[in-house]
Amino acid sequence: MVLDFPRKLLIALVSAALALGGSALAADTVRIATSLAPNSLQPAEATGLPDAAVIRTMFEGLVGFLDGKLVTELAESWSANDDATAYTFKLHEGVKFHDGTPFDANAVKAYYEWVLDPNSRGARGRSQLKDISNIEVLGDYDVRIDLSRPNGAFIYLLAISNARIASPASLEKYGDDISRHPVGTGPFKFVSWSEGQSVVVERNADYWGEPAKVDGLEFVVVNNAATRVAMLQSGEVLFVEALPPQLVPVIEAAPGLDVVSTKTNFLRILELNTTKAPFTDVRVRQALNYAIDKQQLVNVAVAGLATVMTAPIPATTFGYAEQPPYTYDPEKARSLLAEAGYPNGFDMKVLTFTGDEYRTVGQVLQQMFAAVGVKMTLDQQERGALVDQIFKPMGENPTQAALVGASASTGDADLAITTSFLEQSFPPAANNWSFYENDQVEKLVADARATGDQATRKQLYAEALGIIWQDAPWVFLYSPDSVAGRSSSLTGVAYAPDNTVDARRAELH
Amino acid sequence: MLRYTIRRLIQAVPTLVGVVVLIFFFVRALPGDPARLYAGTDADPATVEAVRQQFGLDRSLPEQFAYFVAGLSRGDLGRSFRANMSVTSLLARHFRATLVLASIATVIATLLGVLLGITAARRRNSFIDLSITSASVLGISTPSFFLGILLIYLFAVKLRVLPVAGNVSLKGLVLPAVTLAVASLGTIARFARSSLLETIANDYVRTASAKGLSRSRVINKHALRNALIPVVTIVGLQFGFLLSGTVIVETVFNFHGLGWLLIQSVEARDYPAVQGLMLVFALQFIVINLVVDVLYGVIDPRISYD
Repeated sequence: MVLDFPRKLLIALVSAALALGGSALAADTVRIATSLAPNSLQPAEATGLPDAAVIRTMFEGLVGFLDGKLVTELAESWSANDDATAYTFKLHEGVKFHDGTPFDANAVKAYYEWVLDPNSRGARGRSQLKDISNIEVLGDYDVRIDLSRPNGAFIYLLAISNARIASPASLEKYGDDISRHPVGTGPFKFVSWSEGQSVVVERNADYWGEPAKVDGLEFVVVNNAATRVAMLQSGEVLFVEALPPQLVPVIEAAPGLDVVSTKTNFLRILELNTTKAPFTDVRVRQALNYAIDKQQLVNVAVAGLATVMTAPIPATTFGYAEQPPYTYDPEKARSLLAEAGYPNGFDMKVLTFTGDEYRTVGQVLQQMFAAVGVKMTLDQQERGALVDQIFKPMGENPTQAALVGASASTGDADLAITTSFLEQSFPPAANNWSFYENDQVEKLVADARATGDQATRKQLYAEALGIIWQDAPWVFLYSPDSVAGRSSSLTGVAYAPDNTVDARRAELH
Repeated sequence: MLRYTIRRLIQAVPTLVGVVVLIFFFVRALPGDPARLYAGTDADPATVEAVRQQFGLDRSLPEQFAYFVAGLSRGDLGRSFRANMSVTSLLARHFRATLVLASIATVIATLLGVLLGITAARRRNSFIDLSITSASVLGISTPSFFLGILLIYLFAVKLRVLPVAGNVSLKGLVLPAVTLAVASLGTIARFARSSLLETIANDYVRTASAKGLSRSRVINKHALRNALIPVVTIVGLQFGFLLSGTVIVETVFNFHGLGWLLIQSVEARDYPAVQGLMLVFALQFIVINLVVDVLYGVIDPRISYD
């Protein structure tokens, strides 16, 4: 009798397991393994990179990015007035949302007004688009967006994932559940979302543009890198995100599999708190920049899959201007430190995230700093705790230096400089963790924002970047490549420079 | 038996209340701001504030607690910050996955473990006993991530007969269930062996043999029942541990059960989800302990609870 019970249980469980067995997918569905799970598929609400990758397949903006370049999407064309306070768009005709709602000027107005409504779930999009003061419907397919202040970089804000447009009818229909009910105009439409497991999208047969070349996509969440790689090797997925450097040789050696890397608008930096000695002295900050052999660092820490920084913002960003390098020179570093009154160096504590990359980079920095007399200790903290600390306001912020990441998510210098180097971005407001302040930089960025002329903007940013580079609030390290593994039978799927996977052009061979 | 069960369940209520209060304040004492983590490190203060309001974290702690308790009394565990869905449906989804995995692993481990344990005990000190005992030790001491990766490499990458990623389907359950079962199997086999050997040494077993019963009848009819009581305790405990999240195995096989959910929820400081999970874990142990106690009565008629 005792042994009878488990036997019955086994039979029950096996039949249950069979009944619950995996759902069938369309024949030409491309499975992609992502490293993190999405939280929301509402474009204006979503914050994560996996969310953006999925959203991109289903939603479009008036403008967007293709391979890091600004392109039109739902707008046929656009223009800005001279002082960059009004942007006018001519929309594509005959476009429909996946729920059948027609896409027109009224939809643009209704959707963005929802985003700007303080009670909507689109807080993230609202903060990006907060300069919008009015949306004017000029005709069925003509719309003008007015801004409360000049913003020459506004078009880049409309191109990011948070500004992609959802069906106004869907907002009403789903209310607070809109996060899980995506309805856009894109080449793929939503099929299902199994929380924490996967999101499935299928080809939108009524797509207004060039139709998708595969029947569907499935984004499968696989947190563990070794498991992702095994799934690529076994053929369970055709593309894997976030290939760690140590597994790159495994994929390179495997027949039928390729390593695909993309330059990104992400940075790895050592930010120095310019309000705390010895980093109040610009010579000390420059000395630390001279003390690091950055190419060596890249080779050792990330297997060479990164580009040494040549400006305070990523090279993929609009407004980027190359700066004279801080060539590796420990002698010069030592003499600068001596000049600043630290002939024997000093002790410093560097806060950083947990994880292999940050640890390895920290260890390399430790050794290179030691060579010029600077004794560095590494304080690795879990993400939540670290974020708590670096966002403390000036007086309370105990951070001396932090090894962190930075990014230019709009692909434009305005946001990249503003969030990291302007006074308005001192924590807790934004990411100027160095508490860096320079009146000239403030003025140049304000001037650049006040013009719609892209050539003038470029020139002003170049000047601002030169000043920041000399002031060295950071030890400028590198811009990591996004590295993925891909089956040779798949093309058209790769990382975009914003470190999210772009699968819209997936094609099987 | 029914009265006993009801009494035990009522006795569990204070424990659950304690767990609820403790966990509510404990998750909030952790460093890390859920609103900031959800909004992203590059979000401006207005966004973070809007998210904070959406999460109800702008209210005072006593208010939040009252709201939580009020929800709890209606069976509502709140809405997950991270997953944008109700915690009850979130838990149900992941619990189902873990329940199926843990049950199958426990069944495999129990059947094989008891069988191997009995075999070893019956042929005490033989080569078979030695092999089973050594294999049990090996099974207990092999780290599950190592065994998991080994199985993945062999069956999924090389032979391609089973998938790498586990899921709630027959094929998808084999590798994770076997990996989980191996360690428990070793423990159960060792317990069954020593327990049976102890029982066989008792007088009443000798009496049974003396009155001329066959050896297999002596063991199956007289010794086994008594020998199984401590084994049931161990199986219950093992099952409890497997249910409360097999974090490592779930990670290696990308099996999204309660262990996976716990990691995700803690990282995101998803207070409602963490609270719900802790409640489920506490409840599981209470129920399993109860089931084990009731099973004693089934196996040994001398044990009665009324």
